[in-house]
This record gives sequence, structure tokens and C-alpha cells, in this order.
Amino acid sequence: MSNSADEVKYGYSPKTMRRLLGYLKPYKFISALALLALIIATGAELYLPVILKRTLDENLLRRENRVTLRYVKKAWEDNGTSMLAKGIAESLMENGVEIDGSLFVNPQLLSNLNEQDRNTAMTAGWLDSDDWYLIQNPDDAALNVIESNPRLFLVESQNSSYAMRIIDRNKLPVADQLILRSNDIVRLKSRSLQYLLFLLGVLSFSFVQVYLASWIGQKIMADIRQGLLTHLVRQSLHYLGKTLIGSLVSRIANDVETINEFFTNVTISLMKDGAIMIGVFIALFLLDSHLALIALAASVPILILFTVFQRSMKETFRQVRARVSSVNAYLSEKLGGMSTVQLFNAQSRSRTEFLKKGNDLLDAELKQIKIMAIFRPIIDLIASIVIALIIWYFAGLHNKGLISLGVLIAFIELIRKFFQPVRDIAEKFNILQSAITGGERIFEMIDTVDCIKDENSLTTELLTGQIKFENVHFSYVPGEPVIRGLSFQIQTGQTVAVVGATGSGKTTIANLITRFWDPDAGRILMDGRDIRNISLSSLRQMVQPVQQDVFLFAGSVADNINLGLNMSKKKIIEAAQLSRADQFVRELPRGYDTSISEGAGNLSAGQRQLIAFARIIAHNPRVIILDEATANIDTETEKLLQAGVENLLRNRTAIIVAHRLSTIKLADRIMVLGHGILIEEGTHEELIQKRGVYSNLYKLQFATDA
Amino acid sequence: MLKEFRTLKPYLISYRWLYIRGLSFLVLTDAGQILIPRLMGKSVDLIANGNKSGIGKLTLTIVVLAILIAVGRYGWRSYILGAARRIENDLRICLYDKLLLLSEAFYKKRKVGDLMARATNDVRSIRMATGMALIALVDGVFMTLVILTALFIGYGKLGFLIVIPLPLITVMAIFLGRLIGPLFHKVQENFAKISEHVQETFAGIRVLKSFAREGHALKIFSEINMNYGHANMALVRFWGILFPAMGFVAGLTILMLLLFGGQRIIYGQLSPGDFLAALAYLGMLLWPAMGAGWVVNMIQRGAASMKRISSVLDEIPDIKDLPGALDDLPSGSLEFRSLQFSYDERNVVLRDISFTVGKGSSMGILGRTGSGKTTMIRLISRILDPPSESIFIGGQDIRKIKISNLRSVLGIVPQDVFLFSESIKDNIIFANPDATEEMINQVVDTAGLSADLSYFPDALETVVGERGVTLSGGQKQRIAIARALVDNPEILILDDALSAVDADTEERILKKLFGIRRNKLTVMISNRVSALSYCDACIVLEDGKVNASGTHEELVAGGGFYQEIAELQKLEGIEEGNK
Repeated sequence: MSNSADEVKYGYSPKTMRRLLGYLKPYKFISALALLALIIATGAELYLPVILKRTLDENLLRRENRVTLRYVKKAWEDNGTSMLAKGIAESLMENGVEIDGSLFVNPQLLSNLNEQDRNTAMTAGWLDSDDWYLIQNPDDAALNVIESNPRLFLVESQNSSYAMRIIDRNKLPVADQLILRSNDIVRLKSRSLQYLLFLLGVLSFSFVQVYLASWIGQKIMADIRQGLLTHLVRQSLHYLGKTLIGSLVSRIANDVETINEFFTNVTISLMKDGAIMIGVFIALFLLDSHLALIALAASVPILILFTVFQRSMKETFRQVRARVSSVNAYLSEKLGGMSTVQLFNAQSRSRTEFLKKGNDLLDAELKQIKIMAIFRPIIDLIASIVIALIIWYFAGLHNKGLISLGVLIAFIELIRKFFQPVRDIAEKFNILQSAITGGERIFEMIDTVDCIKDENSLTTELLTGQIKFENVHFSYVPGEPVIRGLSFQIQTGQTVAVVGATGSGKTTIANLITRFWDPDAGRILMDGRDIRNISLSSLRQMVQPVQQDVFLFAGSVADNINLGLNMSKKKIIEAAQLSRADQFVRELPRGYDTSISEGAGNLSAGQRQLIAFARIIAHNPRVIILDEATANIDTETEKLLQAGVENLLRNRTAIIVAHRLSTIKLADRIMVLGHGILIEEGTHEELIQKRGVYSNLYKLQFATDA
Repeated sequence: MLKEFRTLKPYLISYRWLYIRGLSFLVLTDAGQILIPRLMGKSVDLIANGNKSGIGKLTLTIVVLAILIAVGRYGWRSYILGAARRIENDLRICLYDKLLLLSEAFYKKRKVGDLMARATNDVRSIRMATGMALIALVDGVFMTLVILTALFIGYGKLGFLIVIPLPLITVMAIFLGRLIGPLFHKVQENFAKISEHVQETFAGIRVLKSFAREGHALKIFSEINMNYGHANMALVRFWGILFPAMGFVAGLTILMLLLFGGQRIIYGQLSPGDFLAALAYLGMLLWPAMGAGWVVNMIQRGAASMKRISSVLDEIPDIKDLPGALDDLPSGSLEFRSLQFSYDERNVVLRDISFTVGKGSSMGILGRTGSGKTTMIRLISRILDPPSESIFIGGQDIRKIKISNLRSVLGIVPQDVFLFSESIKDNIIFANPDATEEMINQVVDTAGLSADLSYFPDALETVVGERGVTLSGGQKQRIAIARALVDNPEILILDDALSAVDADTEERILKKLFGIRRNKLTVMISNRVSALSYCDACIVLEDGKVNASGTHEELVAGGGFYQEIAELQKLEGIEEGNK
């Protein structure tokens, strides 16, 4: 069984994608703001591990290297040596603290020395192998500690700088250590505050970004919905008639919703993932390029993994979706036709079929679970291996004093952030795909144009309502003519009754005059002008049909008469009085404000018809076409209707597709239609005398009526 | 709440090994995961102390552990998620089994859409509850307990300090969830309004177009559209803050670690490795904290869904074989014996209906809309159960016959023809999947379908209905006739089966049809007297009573409704002649 409607199309369609993105255009500015918020939030988020790193390295685990000042100076004067470039020498002199002929510098300034260089430097004596702790501007308590342990300190009392070996510091009593390190504690607190501020920054910018993205999504969704409905209501009844209302609703309601998903969730989250991944790499490289290269190397297996899995993932996603819709379609159809299944004793057969569909779905789902159960853990595995590798490689670097612990911790944090988005990237692409499919379906609908041509602007103000058919031919389905060369003329203000058997083309006349359809051949003239030259809305204000099955909208009775024109209540009531609807409307729970969906659901067919009459009278067209209800109506309503109809017909040109003698008697003239042509025409008396089809009809159907 | 899950017990038991294996893998994976931060911390401390020698072994251990974890994850994913999918599948078929048994009365009170929702959404949420939610529950509880223990024992007071913000996440998720609930409801209401408006616009498109009021509908729509947008944005105000806020609180735990752990590092009470391990543990605690609300929600939803599904499963089919029902195929004449029937106590639909149709003869029924004709047909096929001792086949009360046996001798063409979205052929052989090519061709010919087939793209293999070509009412009816005939049933019942077919075609079909039905029993409801004239006898049904009976000729001559109709239809005949 083919189920093309549910078949999920595949392949990313760049065209649809571009067209979707085109809807962003009116919101360029807001989109830019959202993007900016996204970048700031991501940047701030990635800066958090950097704060950790700096706190660790510069406060918690602060240490200094001791170099000989003389050597640095000389290197500077000699324009750099093989080990110490002039620039580095300069920055050492600038940033280092001088105590007793030595410079105490941040180890990071020497990070470009490799292992061999450092060994040579230590042997040469200008680089001390111990880590030192520097104290500047100590408070009184600290001075006390320093004074009570003079052997441990190098002193530069002029600029109050003191240095001690870290090993020595750690041998002091804890209380003394704390006194010496009070500055570190103060800085730790200010760093913590900085961390809090960045957290708040992430919070607010993330929210701004989510809010703006949703706003844009909502706007675009409203634009697409409005556009789609506007497009659709302009389509011809021919097109709308062959499209299921359910599928129109599902396009406008559900498919547009998936497009919103596209804008608010998928696009944004893919962008965010991208920003995070790129940001992590930038941060890694800034922290340490060696380690960053190791991390970068990890993206190779991920890419390979993704390419390998992408195909089978896409395939299983597609298969699962297709089978889900097959199960659902089967179920919904069988539930709808359950009595047929039972009548034909097909229960056990149907059970087997359903079981098979269910098992097919299960197979696909289990396959999907298998694939995801391999893919996701492998991603995590790669993350762990990368971290292990980094620790291992780091150990070597750190031992040589080439790298700080803070960098390692920041790295591990950042790599964890990097792997977060990779895990569910497959699911995101899947959502993206269904959004695009939804988009395709909508665009297909927008691109189908099947409307009655409305290119002329002739208005009807000067027209009186004289109607003429000139050899009109028409068929709804090619090859099955309904009207076959019909010609007649109706004078302004005249009432004409059309009678004939079902399928003789009576109702079609109404469809043609109101231009729900255009004739295949021949012309329809209004006061001598082809109605195709009259603007459609103007024509339809002038010619209004009253259908057999009255359609009332869910609003109030007044709304249904008014139909969105700003009529005064008085005019509405007047119209209702003329159509004889007033009396029963007043008896409804809330009178004219009674909502059709609530209180007026129990209106009888006749009462609904009277409301439709009121609607016509209120809109005051010059021509009306009345398709009389065939349904049985009780005598009382019939009387009411009759009075209503009389008021309806007054001062108007009228065509009545008649089923009741009472209405036929109101007509100035009767046309008898058979198989799309005019068989007989004349007044009631003329036709009776003629003893043709009409007189037979009259005898059999209406004689007892009268 | 657990009460609702009792229905699941047999399923859980039958897949217990999958669950036991899956949960074991899950717990082992978790244990492995919890070791990794420790190992990383140890490595860092080794590095910090300048001891390089143990690093290689430690990192290798991490890698080996990571591989084991990956294997473990594969295990729990495929076992537990697989079990949940299997349960979903089992439940769905179990539900369908029940639905196949339930009668018209049930389908009258439950809409198809509602049943679909049970078979799709509800089954899905049970899958979530027995799969992901169960995993998250076990994983969350286990991880939280172990990590908290590790933190409290290993880090003392610091352990307490850093996890202080975590409950805030759970509280926030639940609190915001409460706030979001009504807003979400509002969004859905507004969404429903969009559907309703679109639905109404197209249902009433004729009126809109004839008054040129399309613009009005669009104006209202733009308002509805805007309201939907507003409702969504009101939701976003809370929903949009939820995840950033959770991220914020997660950040606060790290902040606590930085502030208090940092001081301890300065005091020399905490090693950098322990700092790193704590950082990793905090990351691992985050998911359970965030997911707690979700798990509770999922399990609640699962319970609610279970209840909704149970309500269908507990339904007792009202039409079923009586104990000791006869296993023989019924055969012989069809007899109504003073049948009285009403849907509810007050309105009697059929009263005192008595007639007999012998084997090898046919009966026509004429009646206005609402006179009870269709109800009669439903009673014969026990789509509705008749009162006992009122309908007999071959002298046997049909209530005492096995339903499947009863229906296998009936061929019914209902008034509202329901065709499945399958090929024409599949629809025809629905009554008899073993029908030979020859049998199919014969019924296609009898039902007057041969000419139509040439218009269809794939002839008999053309798919019809929602997913295929659209058929005219007459075509549907004729396919339904072919479907009813393909089994060559003992009793054929045509319920206004040719109303959408023109008189000429009807004539041709009936001629052939009554030709092949010569030795069988046929009941035909029709509004066309010309069709009824093929029957050996006719009855006229008015207001649920048999008002007249006799042969066509007798009834035409007898005055009354039958004659009235006959004359009226003669007129159409005159007109036909005028063509």
C-alpha cells in the first residue's frame, strides 16, 4: 500500500531553507539583536572556566620563578640571547619584582622555554629551580610573621616586597600561612564576585536571546498563517472543494507550528552549539595551543563517526516516522470503519495486519535504539579519552614547569562543554528535517494558484440587476456537461422560478451568476456587461445566493446577520423583522447576542433559513438567488418562511430554485430546466395550458399542496 | 498512583530479564562514572606534587573505565529502552484487540479522535514512563545518593556547602512548572481557536465568498493569530527563563566551590585534584536535580495515560456470543417476529415488525428517512443486538448463533459506504480474501464497475480514498456491492445501495444482480419504486411500523405512500424521456 501523503521526503532542500529564512527579513534588526545576545551569552559562558583557571593560577596556587636580574639585563642589552629574546627580557624587567638582585616573575612569562632551555638555564644559574611566593605590602600581622622568621625571607624593604620559597611557606604553622596569604583570600573573594557577575550575564543574555528568538518565531508564524489563509480564501471553490478541510487546517495549524520549531528551537540551538564549539576552540588555543591541538584531533573521530552514523540514523529516523504514520493511518481508518470490519468478519485478519504493522514499527524503533545506543556512548567515550590524553600530556608539561594546573582544570571544563551539543546533534537535524518538510508542504500550497480571475475593477453601482445568459455551457468535470447551451433573460426586479429534476442544472445557475465558477463557453451579462468584467467583490455584493443548507458561523446571531460589516443594531433588527426572524431570536437566551455554538444550536432548519434571509436583507443585494430547502418543514415554519420570502423578494431581481408551490406562485415567470437546457418557459397559467412537463409536475407534486 | 500501573504488571514481568539486565548495566555504568572524577583528581594531585610516574597507569585506567562505561551505556539503552518499546507495541495491539470486539454503542459514545489519542499519545507516555523516566529515576536516585555520600564523607562541610544551591533547581523546576501549566493550557486553547477558525472559514467559505466577506474572516483570524502569539510570549516569559535559571543555579554551585573550596586550597586543606573532582561531581549532580521534576511529571502522565487506556481495556463488549451459541452456519428463510426496538427507553424506533423472506426470494423495503429501515439492517447483522426471539434465520433465533457464523452468511451494502484506503481490489476482496480472479471479475461486472475501471490509473489496483483517487458516491456504492457479492452470501442486504447511481445504470445492475441471486435470499431497501419492482414482495415502513405489504403491482394499485412515490417518480421518467 502506498501512502505517499505520509511519506517523509528527504534530502535537505536548500531552496526551501532559503525561502524559510526569507521570512526573517522584516525582523532583521531583532534577529541581529538576538544573535548578539546569543554571542554575548556564549562568550560569557565560556569565560567562566577561564575565571576558574585564573583564580587557581594567580591566587590559589600562586607561585613565582626567580631569575637573576643581571642576566636578564644583559640579555636585554645584547638584544636577546639564544634563550631569552629581547622582548621577553623586557617584559620580565617590566613585570617582575626586584628583590636582592633577583627578579621574581610569573612563570607564564617564561612559558616559551622548553625543557632543555630550562635545564640549561638552571645549570647556568640564572633560573632558580624552586617555586617562590611573593608578598607585597604586607600588613602588620604579616610583618610580624616575616620578622619572626627572618631566615626564610628575601627582603626588599624599600618597596616592601618579600619573597620566600613555597616549600618553606608550607612548613610554617597554618595560622602564619593564612596571615601571609590574606591578600590571596581577598582576591579570591573578588574573583568569586566576578564569577557571579558573569553568571548573571549568562542568565540575562540567555533569557533575552530566548525571548527575542521566540518573539521572532511567533511573528513569522503569524505572518505565514495569515498569508496562507489569505491565499487560500481567494482560491476558487473548485480548488477548495477538492481539498479536504482537514488538510487545510493541518497545514495552517500544525505545519506552521513545525516551522516555528525551526526558527525558535533548531536554528537557534544549532547556532548556539556552533558558537559554543567554536568558542571552546578559541578559548583552548588561547589557553594552550599544544593541548588545544590534542582536543582538535578529537574532532576527527567525531566527524568520521558522524558521517558513518548520519546515513543510518537518517534512514532509521525516516523509517520510524513512516511506520508510525502507517500504524496511525491504519488505526484511524479501521476505527472509523469498525462496523465494516465487524460486518465482514475481518477482525482476526485485521488484527494480524495491525500486529504486523506494529512489529515492523518495533523493528525500526529497536534498530534506532541500537544505533543511538552505539552513537551516544561513543561520543562520551571520545570525550573521556580526550580528557585522559590531555591529563597524560599535561603531566609531562607541568613537570617541566611549562604549564599551570589552572589550565588543566579549565581545559577539562571546556571540553565537557564542547561535547554537550555533539551528543544530540542527530536529533536536532531530525527536527530540522521535519520543519523543512512542513515548509515544503506549505509552499506547495502557496504556489498552487487556482482562483477565479478578478482583474477588472468595474463596479456595480450603476447596474440594475438585469440578467442575461447567452448560450452558456458548463461542466464541473470535463466530459460531463451540466449546462448545455442555456440562454435566457431576466428583467430588473423580476422574480423567476426555476424547476426541474435533480441534476438538471438548477443550482449551477446560481454558481455561475455569482462566479463561483466561470462558464466554459458563452456569456453571462448583467445590464449588458459581461460579469467577468465586474470586480468580484462588487459582483458578489450585488448578487447574493441563499443556500439550501444554511451555514451559520460560531458567533452570535447578530454577527451572523452582520457578517463583519459595522451595521447598527437597529438595522440588524429591522432586517430580522422583515425576514420574520425577529420573534424567535428574541426568545433565545440572550436574544441577538446568543452565540450559535452555545444557545442557538437547537435552531430548526426553518429558523436557520430565516436568519439567512435576514442576512440577505441586511446586506441588501440587487439580485438574489434562492435555493429553496427541500427538507421537510412543518406547516407553521412554512408560513413564516413564506412571509419572509415575500419581503426578501421585494424590489429585487430574484431567481428561485423552487420546490414549493407557494414560492412558485410568487414568481412572475417559470423556467423548466432539464439536463442543462431550458425545456419550457412561461407563467404558471401558460405552462399548465401547454400540458407539457410542468403541467405533469404540477399535477403530481403540487396539486395536493395547494 | 502506582495503582494505575498495575495493568502493566504482566508486561513488566514478561520483560523482567530485559529490565534486570538493563538496570544492572545502569548501576554498573553509574558506579564507573562516579570513579572517573576520583581518578582525574588523583592524577592532578600526582602532577601537582611532581610525581609523574603513576600518571600513565592512571590515565590508562580512565580510558579502560570509559570503555566499560560505553559498553554499559549501550547495555542499559538497548535493554531498557527496548523493553519500553516492546511494552508500547504490546499495549497497542492489546488495545486494538479490545477495540475490535466493541460494538457500535461504544463507538457512538467515543470519538475516533479520542481513541486515536489513547492509542498514540497515551501509549507513548506509558513508553516514556517505563523507559526514559524509569532510567532517569534509577539513575538519578543512585547517582545522587552515591555522589552526595562521596561529597559529604570526602569533603566534610565543604561538601554540604557546595550542594546547597542544587535543591533550588528542583524547586524551581517544580515551581515554574506549576506557573507554566496554566499558561501552557492557554497556548493550547488559543491554538485550538486557530484550528477552529480555519475549519469554520472553509466550512462556510461559500457564504463568505457570496457576501464577499473573506476580508472579515481574515481580520478575525489576524486577531486570533495575535492572541496566540501573545499567549505564547506569556509562556516564554517563564519557560524561557527556566533553562537559563537552571544554568545559573548550576553555576552557583561552582561559585560555592570556588569561594569555599578556594579558601581551603589556600589553607592547604584541599588539594587541586580534590577541587577538580568536586567540580566534576557537581556537573554529575546537575542532571538528576534538573530532571527530578521531569521524572515526576512523566510518571504522573504515564499513570494518567494508563488510566485512560485501562478504561478502554476494561470495557465489556455488549454484543457477544451467548454461552452455548450454535456453531452451525445458519441457513434458510429470514423471519422477523413482532420485533420491537428502541435505542433508549422512550423512543421506540421499530414496533411489531413481522415478515418472512424465504430462501430463493427477495424482499423490498420502502420508507421515508427516519422510518427505521437502517436500524432493521443493523439488527439483522447484530451490529445492534435485537431482543431475543425476534429475528430468525432458518427458524433459529439469531441471538443464539455465533456472531462470526451469522455474519459470514450475510452480505451487506450499508447506506454510508465505508471503503478503506486500499486498492479497489483489496476493498472488494475484503469480504473474502481468497476470492479468485474469476470471482472478482464476475462481481465487478455485476456491480457495473467494468466501465469505470478503465478511467482509473491502475484499474483494479487503483488506491482509493483519502490517500488515493476520489470516488463519486455511485462508484463507492458499486464497489461496496461488489464487495458484498464476492462472497456469494446466502443473504444479501442492500441498504439504499444505489441511491447515487443514475436510473439507467441501476436498472442494468439490478437485472444482473437479481439474475445471480435466484437461489439466494435478498433484502433491498430503496427509495426508487422502479428498483423495488425487482423484488418478489415489498413492505412499506412508516414511523417504525409495517404499513403495507404485497407485491409491487399490488402496492402500486393499492393507494397510499407506495403509489404516491411511484407516480412522482414516473414524472422523472417522463423527463428522462425528454432528453
